[in-house]
Amino acid sequence: MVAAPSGAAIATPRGATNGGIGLRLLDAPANAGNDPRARLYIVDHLAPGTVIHRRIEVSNTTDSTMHVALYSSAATIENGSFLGAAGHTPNDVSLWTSIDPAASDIPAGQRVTSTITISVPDDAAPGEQYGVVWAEVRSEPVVDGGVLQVSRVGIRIYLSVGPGGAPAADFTIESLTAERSAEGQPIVLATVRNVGGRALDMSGTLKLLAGPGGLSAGPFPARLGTTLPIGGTEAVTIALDDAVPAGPWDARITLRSGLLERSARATITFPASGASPSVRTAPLHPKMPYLVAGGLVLLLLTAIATPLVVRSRRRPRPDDHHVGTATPSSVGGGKPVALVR
Amino acid sequence: MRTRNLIVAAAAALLSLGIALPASADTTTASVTVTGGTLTISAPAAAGSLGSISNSVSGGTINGSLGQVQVNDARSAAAGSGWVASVISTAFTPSAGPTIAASAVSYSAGVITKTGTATYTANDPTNLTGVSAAVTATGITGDNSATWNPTIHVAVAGGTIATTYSAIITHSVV
Repeated sequence: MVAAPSGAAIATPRGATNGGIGLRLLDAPANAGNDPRARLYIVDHLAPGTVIHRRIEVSNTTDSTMHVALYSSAATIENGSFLGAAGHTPNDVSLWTSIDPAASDIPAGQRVTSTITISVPDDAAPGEQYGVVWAEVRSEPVVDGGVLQVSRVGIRIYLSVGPGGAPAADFTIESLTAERSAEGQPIVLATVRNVGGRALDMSGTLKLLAGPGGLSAGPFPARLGTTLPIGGTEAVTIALDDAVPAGPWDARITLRSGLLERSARATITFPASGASPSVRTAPLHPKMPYLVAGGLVLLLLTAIATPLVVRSRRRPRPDDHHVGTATPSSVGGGKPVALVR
Repeated sequence: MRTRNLIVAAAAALLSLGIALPASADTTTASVTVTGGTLTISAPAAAGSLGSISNSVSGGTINGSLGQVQVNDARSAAAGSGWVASVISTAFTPSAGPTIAASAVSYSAGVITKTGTATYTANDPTNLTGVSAAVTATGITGDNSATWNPTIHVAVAGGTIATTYSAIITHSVV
């Protein structure tokens, strides 16, 4: 038996946590100014032949000069996580992306601005692709064995390529499943499907209404931050408070990605243990300003029309109480029907 | 007459409502400066050592730490957004002889110290051959940070050559 070092033999100081390298996007397209995702990531739809520029700021918050390498590599969406590929793994997006300057020695506490240029070639195939712009630092080279450590911080690229406008983003909330964890905690699983042409970063809340004794509960945050690929389906988990009664509840879920928002409802009951059967959801109207405005217009018109009709009909027959008039609720059309299975 | 006044008022209301509707999206690709904050990952100060194991017929596991990893998210991200910290390892390579594959390397994040509002999940990958989620932050509201001190487990098969092995371990946050 030989005592043999199998890892590195050198005693080393543990990795410092006194600061690090930071990355920040400085530009967002003007036409996406309201989209919260566009402030964090490079999210764009470009026609073939287009060139865009985005500035990024790399900061060094450590107390020594850092050599930072900037480069772009491929990315994928796996199991709800946006993952940058290993090292410099290329894909179309990374090959179209250049960064200037591509490396910097940044003194302690300083910042450097670099410009990202994405040039989509004329013959680029349509579709959405993902990449990451990385800022990378390495520990000193390994002299006598040991683990060389690399830290990277990145900005995601969601790049849709094709002529015309951006493909519509859309998703559906297909079903809700009420279940209990092994510890007895009530959990709601929402099955969400991306039916649009863009990847989505989901977030949202669940509310429980019309419960036993008229109780309501929530909103409970959806455990999200998951990325949903085009055509993908993910189960979104919402963990509820232990004190929530079994129900039945009128469950209303609202999920969003950027400015896109969808709401749905279903009647669910929490089982004593295990999972209840999935319940298909009925969509609630999205909070689109046009639809809301349209609904208001209809309501207003109805409100005006109703007394007019009543008055005009009443004049010849003042004692007639069964006048057929449109009521606000039947015209407004805002009330969806819960579909229960 | 009163009714007519009502109609006029309603029409005026509709008109102003119409004006208040948002103008359709601008199609220019001009950039604007954003005021978002910075996403930061701690810098490794030095190459690390995972420790050593006695050479034996039955093999064993080296459990070592490379020091803390910290992710600081000051992007003022919208409620519900998140980040993914991933990890990947190369094979452990000696100066001569067979390597220890990255599939024999696993990762446990251990306790995650947090500040801010977010849910942190340790994914504890059991195979670092490919890029694997290590710690995932979801349901973020505002600025947040997470610090963990991961343990790297290297399964050393029996009869592995007694020497010093080197590898590259990469943490990425995006």
